[in-house]
Amino acid sequence: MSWVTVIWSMIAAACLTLASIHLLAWFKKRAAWSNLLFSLLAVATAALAAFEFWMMRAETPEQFSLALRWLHVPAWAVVVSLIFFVHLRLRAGRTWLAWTIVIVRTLSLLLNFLVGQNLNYLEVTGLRHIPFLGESVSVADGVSNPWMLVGQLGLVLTVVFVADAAAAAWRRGDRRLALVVGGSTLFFILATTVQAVLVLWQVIPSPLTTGFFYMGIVGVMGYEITREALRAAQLSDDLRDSETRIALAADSANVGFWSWDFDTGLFWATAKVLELYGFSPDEKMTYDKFLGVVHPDDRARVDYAARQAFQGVEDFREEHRIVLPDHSIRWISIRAKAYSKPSGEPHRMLGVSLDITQRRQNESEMVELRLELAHLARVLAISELSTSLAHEINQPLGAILNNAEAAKLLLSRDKDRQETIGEILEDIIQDTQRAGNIVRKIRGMAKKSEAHFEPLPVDPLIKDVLKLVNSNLSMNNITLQLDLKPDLADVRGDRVRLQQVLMNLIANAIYAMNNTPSRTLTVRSAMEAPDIVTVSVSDSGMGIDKANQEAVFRPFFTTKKDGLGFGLSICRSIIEEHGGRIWGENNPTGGATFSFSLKAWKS
Amino acid sequence: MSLPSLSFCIVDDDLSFGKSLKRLLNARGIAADYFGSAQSFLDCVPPEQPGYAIVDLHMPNCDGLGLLGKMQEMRYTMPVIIITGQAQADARDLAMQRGALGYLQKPFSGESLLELVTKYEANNSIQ
Repeated sequence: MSWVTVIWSMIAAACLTLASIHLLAWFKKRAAWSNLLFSLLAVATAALAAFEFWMMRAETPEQFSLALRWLHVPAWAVVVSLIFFVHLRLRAGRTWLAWTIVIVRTLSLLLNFLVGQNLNYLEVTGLRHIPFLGESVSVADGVSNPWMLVGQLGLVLTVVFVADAAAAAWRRGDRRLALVVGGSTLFFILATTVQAVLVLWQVIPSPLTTGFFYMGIVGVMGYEITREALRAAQLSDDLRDSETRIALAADSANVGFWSWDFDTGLFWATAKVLELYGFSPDEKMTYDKFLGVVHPDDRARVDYAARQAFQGVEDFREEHRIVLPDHSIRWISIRAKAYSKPSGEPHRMLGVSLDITQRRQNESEMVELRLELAHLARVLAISELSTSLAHEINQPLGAILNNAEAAKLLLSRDKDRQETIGEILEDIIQDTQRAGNIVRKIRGMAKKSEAHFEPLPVDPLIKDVLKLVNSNLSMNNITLQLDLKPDLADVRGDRVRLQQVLMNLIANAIYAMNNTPSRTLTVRSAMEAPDIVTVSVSDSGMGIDKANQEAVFRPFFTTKKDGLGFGLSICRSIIEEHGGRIWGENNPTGGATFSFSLKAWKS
Repeated sequence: MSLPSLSFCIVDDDLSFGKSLKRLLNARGIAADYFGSAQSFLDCVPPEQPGYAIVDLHMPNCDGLGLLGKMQEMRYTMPVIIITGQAQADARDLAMQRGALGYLQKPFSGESLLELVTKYEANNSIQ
C-alpha cells in the first residue's frame, strides 16, 4: 500500500469515527446542534478526501473531471456546516453573511454541474503524472473555468465571516475560543484556498490536498467540542460531590430529601425519608403509600395542601402526624416546592421532611404548664382576695360586736328601755356573728391547696418560665440577660408556685419597661449563704416610687391601670409559705430588682 | 376570784376596735386601757404591772408576735392573748408556741375572752 492510500484512508476513517461519536451525542441530546453540525463537517471532510483520492488515481482526463465535479458536493457541505458550527460555537457572526455564503456556494455548486466539466475546468485536456509522497499521482492540464471565481468568492466571504465572528468573540472576552475556533478555521481555509489557486492555475505541480487541510479543522473543532464534554463530566462530578455533602449534612440534621414525579407518582427519597416515614430501606415509596401512613385526622388536610401546591397556589408546608408500624405517633414537618412543565402542567415536587416530634412534645408540655399556672393564679388570687376581705371585714365586725355587747350590758341597768333596745342589740350581735361565720366559711372555701415541697433545681425552673415569656419579651423588644450561677444547691419548693412567683415578677418587669427606651431584663441566681439560694429579676424600667416601697407587697396595691393589686401580694404569700423572703429595691443605675431567697433542700 | 379585780391592756392599731373592746370590758366593770401601738404600750406599762395584754397580730412596725417577744425579753408578768382579723392556722400555732395565753379571731364575743381568762385564773389558783 502506498502512502497516499494510507494517509487519505486514515483521514476518512478518523473523520467518520469522530462524526459517529458526535452524531450519537446529538441523538442523546437533541438541543446540542453543534454536535450535529460537527458530524456533518466530519462526514463531508471524509467524502472530500475520498474524491481527492479518486482524482489522484484518475487514469483518464474524464475520470479526473468527474471526480472533481463530485468533489464539490462535500466541499459545499463542509463550508455550510463549518459556517454554522462557527456561528454556534463562537455565539457570534452575522447571520445574513452566513446565508449569503450559503447562497453563493450553492450557486457555485449549480455552475459546477452546468458549465464546463466542473467548476474548475471548462475542459481537462490531459493528465500528467507527477511524484507525490514517493509515488506517481495524476494532476490535470486544461482550460480553466472563469466561473471558478464564484467559488473563490464564497471562500473569501467565509474568511470574512469567520474573522468577524472571531473578532466579536475576542472583544466579548472569549479570547481562547476566538483563537482556537476562529484562528484555526481561518488558517486552514486560507491554506486550502491558496493551495487550490496555485494548483489549479498550475503554478506548482501538486495534487489538491483540501481534505488534508479540512482534516485540520475537524481535528481542532473535535478537540474543542470534546473539551466541552470533559468539562461537563467534571461539573457532574462536582455536582455529585456537592449532592453527597448536602445529603450528609441533611442526614446529620435529621432532614430527609425527596422528589416526587407527578406523572409516575413515584418518589425518589433519601434513606432518612424512608426511616422517618417508617418504610423499609429498599421500599419503593409512592404518594398513596405516603398518604397511607399519615394520621387519619391529618390526611385530608395534607392531601389538599399537596394538590394545592401542584396547582401552583402556594408552597407545600405542613406539619402532620404519621402512624408508625408500632402504632406510635411521629410529628413531621414538610416543606416542598412544586415545579411545572413549560406547558404549565404539574411536573414534580422537591421537598424536605423533618422529625419535629420532640418540638411538638415540648410545645404541648408548655401549654400544660401555662394552663397549670393560669389555674393556680386564679386560685391564689381568690385565696388572697378572701384573706384580705376577711381581715378588712372582721375588723369592723369585731368592733360592732364589742360595742353591741357593751351597750347591752350598760342597758341592763336601765329597766325601762331594756326590752326593745335589748332585742335590737341582741339582733345586732347575732347578725355580726353570722357575718363573721360567713367570712370564715368563704375563707375555708377559698383555702388554697397545700403546697407540695420537693428538692428543686433553680436553673430549669427559671428556664421553663423564660420559655413561656420569650415571645412576650421579643414582642416588647426586651433584651434578656441571664446571670445564672452554675451548680446551685436545690431549693425546698413547690415547682408550680415558684414558677408563678417568677412569672409575676417578670410580668411586672415587662410592664415597668413599657415606656423606657432601653429595655433589658436580667434574671440572676446566686448562693447568698451556704443554705440560701437567691433569685432576682431586674428591669431597666421606671423603678419603685420611694413612697410605695413598703406598700407594693400589700394586697389591692397597684400602679397598673387595670391591675387588681394581687401579684406581689401573692408572691409574698407563696415565698413566706416556703419560709423564704421576698423584697424589692431600686437599682443604682435605674429600674428595679425584685428578689426572693429560699432555703436549700436538706435531705 | 371576782371579775372586776382583773385589768386588761389592749394593743391594736385599729382605733375603732380597740375603743369598742375597752368599752365592752368597762361595761362589765373591768378595767381596760387602750394603746394604739406596741411602742406606746411598752412606754406606758411597767413590766411588773399585773393584768392581761390583748395584742393584735397585724400591726405596722412591731406586730403582735414581736411585742410578745419583747415582753418576754423585758420580763413582763402579764399573759398575752393574741387577736387577729385573719384566720391563719399557722399563726395560731406560732402564737401558742411562743407562749401566748390564747388566740382569738375577730369578731369574738366578750364571753369567749373572759372564758379564756377565767380558765387560766382557775388553773393558777389550783396550783
